[in-house]
Amino acid sequence: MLIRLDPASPLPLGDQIAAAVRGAIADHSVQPGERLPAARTLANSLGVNVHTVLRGYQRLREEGLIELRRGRGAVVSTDGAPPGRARLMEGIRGLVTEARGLGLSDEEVLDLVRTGLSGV
Amino acid sequence: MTRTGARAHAVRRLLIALAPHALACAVFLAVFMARRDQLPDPLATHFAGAGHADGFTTAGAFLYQGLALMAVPGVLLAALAYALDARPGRAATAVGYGVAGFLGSMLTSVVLGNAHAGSAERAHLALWEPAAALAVGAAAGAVGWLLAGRGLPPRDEAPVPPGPAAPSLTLGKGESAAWTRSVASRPLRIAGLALLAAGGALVPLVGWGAGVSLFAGGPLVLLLSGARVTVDRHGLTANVPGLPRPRLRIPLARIETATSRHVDPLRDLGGWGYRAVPGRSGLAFRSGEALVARLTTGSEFVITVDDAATAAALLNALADRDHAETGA
Repeated sequence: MLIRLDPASPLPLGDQIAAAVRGAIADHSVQPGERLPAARTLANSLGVNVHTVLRGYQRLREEGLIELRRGRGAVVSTDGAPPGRARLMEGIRGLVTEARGLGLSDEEVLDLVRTGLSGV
Repeated sequence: MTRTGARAHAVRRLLIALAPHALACAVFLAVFMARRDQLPDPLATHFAGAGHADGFTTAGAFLYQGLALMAVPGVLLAALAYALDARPGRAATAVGYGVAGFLGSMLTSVVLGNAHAGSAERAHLALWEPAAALAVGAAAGAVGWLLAGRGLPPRDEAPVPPGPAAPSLTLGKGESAAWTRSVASRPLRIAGLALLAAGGALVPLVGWGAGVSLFAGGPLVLLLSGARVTVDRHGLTANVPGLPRPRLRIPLARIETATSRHVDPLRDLGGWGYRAVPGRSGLAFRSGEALVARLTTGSEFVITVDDAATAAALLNALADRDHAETGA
């Protein structure tokens, strides 16, 4: 799992961490059930604040990719097929970026997705 | 060397290593069978200083024990020589031959002594018999020395080439990066479970004394059967998954270059776990892809881990940046 943080990027550091972990889950270099490095350890490795790492982990938890448990740290989910789900999330991120680039509003994007869903 | 040539050499190594043990077993078995009718049961198998028998074993058990005593080291040595693809040194081959010669003649003379005496109580081992066995062992050792010196090709000791240009990735100014991956070892995990099982079986059989150390060793081996490997601004770190210590850390300042390479634990590091051999040390969890860091001291530090190429590229980039900053 390679994590690169570019301070010049418009993407917040926490999201950059989330993106790297998501990519690692998608390409199976982190297995379902595997424990991620402790937030404190990863923060020390990257030279960032612990809260930055925790924000990234929190985002992955919202996406259903990892579970955060008190005392056990962050563990990749064992159900919900995390690799496929991670790839799906990457697709959604791409979609959002593309739509923002076109200047679409959130409602317009959701309408387009609904149209896509009803068409299949 | 061609593939068939290498194979032929491996078979030859195997035969040379096995031959004396097989011969000793054959002689012992032949003598035992030929004198079977004259042998007392149980046999005298242990002799006091004066040569009188003071220990006895049933004939059947002695036959199997004798064969096992000679065959087990033979098979182990041969398997090791074959698996390692390494030339057992001339001295090692000579010692193998000597041991086979000594054991074979000693066990055979015990059989002959029993057959001669007719009853175990009267069996006698003269002082010259161990001496003769030693002489046979020495002679066999000399044969081994000659055989090992001739037939075996010298092992190519060519140092590992520095490899293609070390991989690297471009780090932007102010960009921070880390790579981390966990690795588990099936051989070590099996060894840990085997220790637990052996300890668990021994404790009720022979008591706490012998079993408890095995039983305690199991969890320790299991705990150390995996690692989290991290490459970051501190350097290269390996620690027990989930625990900050114990850990191994090579700071960036001590790293010259890094590459990824195929590593065979037995051949390259002499076994599994934390190993050190001249010029190289490291953690071997399995055979296959490994991160290899060449240190400023000239030696290598090796960790077997997946995706080692990415780790090596990042380690090179971080080490370059570190060396540039410190002006080294």
